[in-house]
Amino acid sequence: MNKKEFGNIGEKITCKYLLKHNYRILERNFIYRGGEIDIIAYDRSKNEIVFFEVKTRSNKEYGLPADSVNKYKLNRIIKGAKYYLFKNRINKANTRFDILEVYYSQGMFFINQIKQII
Amino acid sequence: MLSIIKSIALNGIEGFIIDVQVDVSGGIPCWEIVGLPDVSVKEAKERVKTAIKNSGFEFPSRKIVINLAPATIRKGGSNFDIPIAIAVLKACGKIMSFEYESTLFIGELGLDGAVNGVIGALPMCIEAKKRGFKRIIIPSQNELEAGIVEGIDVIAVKSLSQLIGFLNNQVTIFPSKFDLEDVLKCRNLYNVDFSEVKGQKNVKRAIEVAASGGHNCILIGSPGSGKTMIAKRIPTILPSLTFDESLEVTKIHSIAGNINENMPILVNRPFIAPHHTISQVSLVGGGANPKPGDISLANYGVLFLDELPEFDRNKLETLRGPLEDRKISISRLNYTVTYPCNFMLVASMNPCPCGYYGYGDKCKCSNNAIRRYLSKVSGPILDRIDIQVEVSGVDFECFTSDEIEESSYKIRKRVEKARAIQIERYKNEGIFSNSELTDRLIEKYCIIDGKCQKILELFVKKKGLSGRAYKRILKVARTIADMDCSEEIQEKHILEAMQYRNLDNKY
Ligand SMILES: Nc1ncnc2c1ncn2[C@@H]1O[C@H](COP(=O)(O)OP(=O)(O)OP(=O)(O)O)[C@@H](O)[C@H]1O
Ligand SMILES: [Mg+2]
Ligand SMILES: [Zn+2]
Repeated sequence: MNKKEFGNIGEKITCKYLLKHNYRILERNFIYRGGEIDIIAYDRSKNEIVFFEVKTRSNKEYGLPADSVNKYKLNRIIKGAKYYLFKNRINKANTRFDILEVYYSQGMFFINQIKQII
Repeated sequence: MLSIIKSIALNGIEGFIIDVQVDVSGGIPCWEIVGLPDVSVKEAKERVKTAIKNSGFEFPSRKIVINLAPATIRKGGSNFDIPIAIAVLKACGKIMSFEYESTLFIGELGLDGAVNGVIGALPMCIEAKKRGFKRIIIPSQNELEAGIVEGIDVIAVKSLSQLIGFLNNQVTIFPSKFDLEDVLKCRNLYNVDFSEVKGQKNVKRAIEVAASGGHNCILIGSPGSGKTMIAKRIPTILPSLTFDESLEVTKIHSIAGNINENMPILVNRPFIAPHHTISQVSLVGGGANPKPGDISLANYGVLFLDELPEFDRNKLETLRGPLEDRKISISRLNYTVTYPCNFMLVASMNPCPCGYYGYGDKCKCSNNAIRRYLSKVSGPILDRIDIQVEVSGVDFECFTSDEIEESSYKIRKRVEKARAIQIERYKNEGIFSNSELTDRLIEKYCIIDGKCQKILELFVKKKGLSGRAYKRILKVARTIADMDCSEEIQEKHILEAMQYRNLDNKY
């Protein structure tokens, strides 16, 4: 499995995961000046718009995927989120920022959702 | 959603009610504290967030703005953790309605949701009671000191989850009860007593005069003559603290963080003896987060400056104001805190650098050296000392004699009698003892007849004393007359008072 394939499968699996957990996918790969938000979804149970950063890793040994979201990256994601809300004229909505870690080990995909990174 | 929780901030020993207002709204999640918080309050964010999560609650992914009102009062310390946490949970509807209007919250949170003790719980409780609050939530570590205050329910909590349980009516916490009798038993229990001091009749008399009028005094004598020993016993003959005075004393020690389980309330007069190497900040108070210094810790007690000439001149200079005003104000960029420092100053010194001046020909100090030594203390402090006592060592026979010396208890009873007279006389003047007499009050209360006037004038002229020294003699004479239960100051009182200007006499 090459990197591209791995990434695609990873995204598919995360979407499935989110649907199963009562989310509605609003946007995938939302592009803004400065970057891209991997997934934007609506959490029905919490009434929150959630901005996901998806981190895929095939090997755990390089540290956990979540570790690679630093302050700089976070600020960019927030900027993207603001742009999304502005563009869609969403005012005062409840929002949340999560990380979805996807890793592959021994022929299986694992998903770990880290909620509320800010 | 906006929610308001009441808390309290201290400025000096005064408490101010603070409204912790929390607004939780949508938008990009963030966490802001406004309203003149200092760094330690800003740090509350992380502690509160983690503590809420670790107490089994969800921390809302919302825009949270916290305002500590009124914004004009500076807020320091970590005691807003609890009110902030409760306000956030309340705004998110996690806790039920409760009598928030009549409840004060203070406490620091640990990351695990445990409640940690705060500094100054006692003055906060006293203020809460004064303002008519029904109950105050405090950390369990502060239970002992805060529990002293009566007329308000003191609820001591160990953890955030316990507190939430209490507010939701799921957990019962009984208000702290405090056994006053138990601590008051320790009143006037000292581990030293005046009966241990052999002989020294004159010195003891002088000390009794000082204690009776609350006069500052200095003990001058050669090494080993017993100056330190005598000074340590002065608190034992001062009048017992009343309960209110105890609270006043304890308040300051509470703010200084000196209160522990062993002494939740100070029932005896403090005896504070700073070493001469003490920093100015620890002596008079101060620091980035102003803390009371030793002069305030000695409030209602004794501040003992052993070996006075060893203290830096500028350190002594800073005592001038506090000695006059009986309070100290510490100014910071945009606020001032004031602590009381109503202490009795007791100092000790040797008569010369080697210590043996006036005792045979042991002393080899040059006149110049002696003058320099004395000039260190002469200006700033000596002017404000009413009683100067010479202490000469006691003879060997005295040590071995079987004569039983008077106990502190007996002396204290006499002192209390003399003080009672003063309190009664000055009840409309706002002072409590002769030492506090101002020039105007001296004219009113220290009237002497023509003959005494003559004696005194002659004495002052002969010794070349200042007008200030003259007033001091009058004040001391007033005290001696009070000890004699005499409303008028007689010749013998004046004569005795003149004896306590030893230092002026000799040097
Ligand atoms: N009147 C006294 N009765 C009983 N013991 C005494 C008396 N005077 C002195 N002593 C003994 O002498 C010891 C030394 O006294 P102290 O330390 O008070 O002297 P000092 O005047 O402070 O000396 P220094 O100037 O060196 O500080 C005391 O611990 C005490 O045991
Ligand atoms: Mg000594
Ligand atoms: Zn000498």
